[in-house]
Amino acid sequence: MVIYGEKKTFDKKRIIGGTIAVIVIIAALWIRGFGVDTPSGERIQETRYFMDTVVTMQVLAENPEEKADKAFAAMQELADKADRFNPDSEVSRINQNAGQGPVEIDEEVFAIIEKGKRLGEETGGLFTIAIAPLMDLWGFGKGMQPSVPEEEEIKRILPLTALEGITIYPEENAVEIARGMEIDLGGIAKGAVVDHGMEILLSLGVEAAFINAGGDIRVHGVKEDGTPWRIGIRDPRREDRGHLTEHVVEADSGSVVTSGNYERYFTEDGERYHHILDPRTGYPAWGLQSVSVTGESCVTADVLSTAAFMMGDQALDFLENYPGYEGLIVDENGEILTTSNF
Amino acid sequence: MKSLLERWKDIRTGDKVIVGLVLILALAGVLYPLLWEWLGGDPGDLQVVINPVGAERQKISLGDIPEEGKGLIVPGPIGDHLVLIYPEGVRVIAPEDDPLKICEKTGWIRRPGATIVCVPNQLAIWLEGRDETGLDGISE
Repeated sequence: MVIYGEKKTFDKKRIIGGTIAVIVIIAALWIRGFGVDTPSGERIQETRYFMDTVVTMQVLAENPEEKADKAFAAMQELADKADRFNPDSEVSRINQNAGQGPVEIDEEVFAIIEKGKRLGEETGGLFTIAIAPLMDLWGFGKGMQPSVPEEEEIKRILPLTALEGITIYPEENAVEIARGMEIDLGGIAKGAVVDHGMEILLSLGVEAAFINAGGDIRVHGVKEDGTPWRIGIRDPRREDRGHLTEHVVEADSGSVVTSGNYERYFTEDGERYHHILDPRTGYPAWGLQSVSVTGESCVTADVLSTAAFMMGDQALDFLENYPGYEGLIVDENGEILTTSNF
Repeated sequence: MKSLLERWKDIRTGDKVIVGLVLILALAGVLYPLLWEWLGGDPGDLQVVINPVGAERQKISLGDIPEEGKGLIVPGPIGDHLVLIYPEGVRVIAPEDDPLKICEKTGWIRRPGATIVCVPNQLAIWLEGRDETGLDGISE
């Protein structure tokens, strides 16, 4: 039997105690994500199809399924109300009453229209929520057969896309459009619906979430390991639909939206025509392949990416000077341009 | 006062081994997830989800698909879509009456999160699984 001296026993205890302390410190660091305040709960991912696109949501929270369900329901409801192809939507009521005075509408859809008009004016009318007649003329409306319209027809339709024909009555949540005009929130609704979904999640106490509606992405918080969300940007030059590996966005708050000419297009007489129509000319915008915009609000990023796409070589200057938002542009030669803080 | 080294020398070899093992286990606990992430983790199984609006959603593991692939007819309002599923990816052939054939032009999808959408035929297809690029999504 070995008998320890008093001093030896004391040292042994101190060393074992020290070891335990080291383990506790390491465990604490591990649990706390090395100093980053990590959210608690379980992370789930759910994907659904609405707004004619695939919407994916990741929610990190207690009872994440229930919270995701609520957010999805609210998003779908707003999307339905803002869809001009839904005959019962708020937008359809405005369109059906074109030229017949103001129409009082739902508060949330009113907010989208008001924002769409204001942002459209900030872009000098390059983004317009009154684009529907031109989209339909080209056959880019839902279920239509696209074709190149006659020049005369384009000239006739263009005045109907001007924002001046839309009158907003904020006190009544009412909107009035001129005869022949039609509102189409296709260029703004996805971003607005994503913002709405995130607002719902945050109101339910969700600490971290990721929403992706067909490439319109908004994130909040950090993942369970304390790392930010990682978002790639589609490289329009790659046929495999891959991303720009040297430009991955890492964020714990904000949005990323991309507008590109590679998704919706048709070919006629050997010429390719895409769906981002320039209201100045009535023809597809040219000069760029894609514009990605980052910033807090998804709806603003959505509008800015569309408007900047029409600006060609002016797009970079526009985004550089737009407060709170940054941009990445792939021009027609495949050159990548970024604003200074992208 | 004895230095830490001298005190360490006073401890029996067996106790040193126990202390060493405990420290190694604690460090391994910290390093394991980092190494796992660094090495790429479990690639998991890529699954294709076929979601026709108003019909039941199907989920098929690409790992169960033979080398020669598998064709699946998915009916919709404007005709039948042919969904071609291979171990390495998925693509679709659009029905004749699809005006823009965006879904067909989309070509192959091969990474988790990638989608194929046919608006006129109310069909959405996407891949689920662990993304080896470490991305949560792609803005496109």
